[in-house]
Amino acid sequence: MAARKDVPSGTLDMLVLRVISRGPIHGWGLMKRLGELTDHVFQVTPGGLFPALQRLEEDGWIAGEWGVSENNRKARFYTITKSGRRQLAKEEDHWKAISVAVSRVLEGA
Amino acid sequence: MNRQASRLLAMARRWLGVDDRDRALDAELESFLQHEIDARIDDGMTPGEARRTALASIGGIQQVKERVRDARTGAWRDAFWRDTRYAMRIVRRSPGFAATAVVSLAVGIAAATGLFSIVNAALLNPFPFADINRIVNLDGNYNGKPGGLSFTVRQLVALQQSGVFDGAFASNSWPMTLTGRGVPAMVPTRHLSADGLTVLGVPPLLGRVFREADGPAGEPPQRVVVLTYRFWQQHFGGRPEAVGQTLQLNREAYTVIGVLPRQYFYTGPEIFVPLDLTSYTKGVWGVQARLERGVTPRMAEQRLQPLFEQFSREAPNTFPKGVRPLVRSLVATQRTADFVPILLLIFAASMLLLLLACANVSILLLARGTSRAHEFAVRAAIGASRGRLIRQLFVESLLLAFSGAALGVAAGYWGLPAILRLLPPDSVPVGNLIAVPVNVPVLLFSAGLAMASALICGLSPALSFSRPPLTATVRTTAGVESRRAHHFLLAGQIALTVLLLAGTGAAVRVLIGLYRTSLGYDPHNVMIALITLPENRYTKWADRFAFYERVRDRMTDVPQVESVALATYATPPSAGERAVVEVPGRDMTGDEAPILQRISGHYFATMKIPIVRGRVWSDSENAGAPHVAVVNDTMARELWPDESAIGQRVLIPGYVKSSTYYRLAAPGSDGWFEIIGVVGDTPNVGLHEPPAPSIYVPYTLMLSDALNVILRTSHDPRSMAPSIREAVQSVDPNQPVTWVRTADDALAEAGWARERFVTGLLLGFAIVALMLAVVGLYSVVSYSVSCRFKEFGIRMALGAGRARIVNAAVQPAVLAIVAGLFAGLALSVGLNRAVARWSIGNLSDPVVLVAVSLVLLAAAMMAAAVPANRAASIQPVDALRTD
Repeated sequence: MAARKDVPSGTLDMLVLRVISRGPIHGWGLMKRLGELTDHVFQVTPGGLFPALQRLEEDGWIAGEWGVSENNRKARFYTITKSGRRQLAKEEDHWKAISVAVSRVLEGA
Repeated sequence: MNRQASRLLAMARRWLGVDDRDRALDAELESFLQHEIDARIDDGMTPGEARRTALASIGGIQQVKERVRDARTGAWRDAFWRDTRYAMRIVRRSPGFAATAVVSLAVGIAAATGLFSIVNAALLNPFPFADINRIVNLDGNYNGKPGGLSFTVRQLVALQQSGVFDGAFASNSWPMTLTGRGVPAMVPTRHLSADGLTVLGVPPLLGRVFREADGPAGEPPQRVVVLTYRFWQQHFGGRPEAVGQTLQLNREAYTVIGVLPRQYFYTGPEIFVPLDLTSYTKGVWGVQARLERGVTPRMAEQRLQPLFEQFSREAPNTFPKGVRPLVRSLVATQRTADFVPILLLIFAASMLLLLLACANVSILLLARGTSRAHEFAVRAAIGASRGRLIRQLFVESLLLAFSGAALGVAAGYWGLPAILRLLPPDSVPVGNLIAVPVNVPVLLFSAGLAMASALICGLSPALSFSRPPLTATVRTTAGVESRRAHHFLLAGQIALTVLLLAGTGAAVRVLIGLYRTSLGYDPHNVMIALITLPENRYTKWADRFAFYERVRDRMTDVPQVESVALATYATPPSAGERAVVEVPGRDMTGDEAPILQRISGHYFATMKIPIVRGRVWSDSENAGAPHVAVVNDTMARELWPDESAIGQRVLIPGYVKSSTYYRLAAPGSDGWFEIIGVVGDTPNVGLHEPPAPSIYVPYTLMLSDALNVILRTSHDPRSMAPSIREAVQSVDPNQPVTWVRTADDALAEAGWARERFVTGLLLGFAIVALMLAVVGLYSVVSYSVSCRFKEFGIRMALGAGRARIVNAAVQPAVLAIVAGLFAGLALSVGLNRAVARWSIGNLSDPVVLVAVSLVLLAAAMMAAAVPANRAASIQPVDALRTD
């Protein structure tokens, strides 16, 4: 396993939005899923995740609702809103543009 | 839902108090934890092991909560309220500390706010007139100073039409007699051109102000009067029906046309009437104007120059040649008043006092902070960041400071009238201040003070306690470092206290010096009543003399009156008028004219002025208006240094001039006087100047329309004012008494008012500063003793004597005091030069500095004695048993 790294600043919100956009998911599931998706390269902690959820919900991009999880426990499930999808698309475009530009510099230099 | 709306909704929920987010967060985190535990059990852990490792992996539930809260909108506000509630609990738990801190700050803020109100009224917002910066005084420029230039009515009109002014008016003040409303009274009256109040921009509260038809050009004005708020309250009980009623002024009926709002002319005139310009053949003084918009005083001076040249061409006999115009704004005139630097100095002293209060609270906070080290260590351990702890401490300081400010503003509000009473008369225009004692600038200023105080007094505790060593939880003997901060603050506080005490001491010394000045007369138990005759009353010399003599007779009959004298102006410390005196065979041009005083023969006995040589005329001689005179010692020495003054003859040319209604010369006066006596010197040009040469002549030679009746009484004369008024009215029921006052009051007003103001306030400040120093010192020593309780116990158990323990307990404080004392003395001596221009007294006066040091050391000993005594009475067994 590669050394664990902090999530690059500013990208955590985008990653969280992206995972939630695939379907309702609760906090713990979200953290596990983020770990799997990044091959455990990014270290996402509850101390980082929950403030991010708080921000996204306040911005109206995700909505939380209480439900019952797969192992029969009460949990708060998050779903993406319409404006959340628009925001995600915007952030993905932005990120892609940046990463292409950064890659070009790294390859060209 | 869009972003704005959801934010608004969240905010609304919070304000309505239905914010259940904290509870939801708890549940969510609990759910998270359960899922983590489930996962670990699935991996084969025992439930106990799973729970423990799950908790560890989360890394502190409290920290997560804290971070989520910080991520919320308005997080700072929620945190602020939480901190405030916490701070209130902390403060409530130690009411003694809180009260001391709040009262310290309140006193400092009250003093600073009160003085700022006066500075604000004096400098920043002096007069309530509309667009005040355009109002100017117009005069001639005599070496940069106004010289009392007068203008004819035609010249005034030319000024009005010069295009420089939006309006210009003349005014003058002299009292009018009010009759028909109880006891006749003299009312201070301002006579001004009909457009005067309009030019000043004074709106009426009721009715109207003057308009042009009230004083048409070339005609005597209408008999109309505008009242100040004060006069209206006093004479009409504030009833609106006053407008339209008539007042008997100088025995003519004047119609009340309006009342002015309260803040206008709070001191000075009580009523306004149109100025009768037709009676001014020579010219009018006191021209004020409103500058045209966009015209500065400098521009006005330049543009008026040709007009002034034209005036002196047209009227070479009356208008001085080559005089340049002087246009000074009313505000600028006020700002350069003599009193302003003194006011600023006192203001600085009040800020110094506040700084001392802050230092004191800082010391108190430090002492408490150390005893709270345990609390901070625990909070740091459960996830509070350093910034968080600093914020908490700052909120506590803010809470104290704003409580102090609220109390201080209230105290300043109630105390302001006392300060205003202490203000020397006519030193500061206070109309605005009276109208709105607590105004926006003052409130902003005190809020700013509270903010700054919180920063100043919270700073050093916040820095030293926000990084508690973890060991603090187990250690109970507190850090040497924080005690050092204590002593440093204490030394600073002592130094500033010494500076304030030195300033006060210097001012007190000046005042004592003034009190001790040999007056040459005895002002105690002397009452002075001024009688001003209405215009054209008693216009024959014999009638007027008979009236004055009858008043004098009646006064003699008033119980407790020992002696009665009459005098035109002779009421020290300012007395008489300058008059040219000629001595045969001597060139006296270039000498300063002596002061002429017109008195009855009994004057010297009544004032207790010693007769040095010769004699004084008797009351019976007085009636014949003899041509005799008495001079003071200074005049005798200056004019006849080598021979006796007695028997010399002098000419007073002013006394051959013909009479007007206000000056009736005795029949047959030729102006030649024989000197028959020499009397002791008394102050006659104020207390700060040496007595000027002075000559006394019988008042009967020139009967004025105003006369002072001077009474020496056997008891305190203050209660006698009514019987004095009655005595005058028994002679002439329509004759008012302008005022009655004691010679002591006259002396205080003319000579001591300024010094009394400065000394009174500084003394108050110094006492408070000393008390603050005592509290600070007490808390430092007693805190230090309680910290080292155990150490002292051990040392005693090992055989240390009580003296040694006391020594150890107070030694650092003594060092701080001595260091502070010397720093303060050095500061006083160093600052002496810088403030010499404004201060009253000498800051580096050795007598003052020694006295200040002794007072401070005595107070310090008192403050340290109690805790030192406690240290000495420690029982080693008790000390070892604790903890």
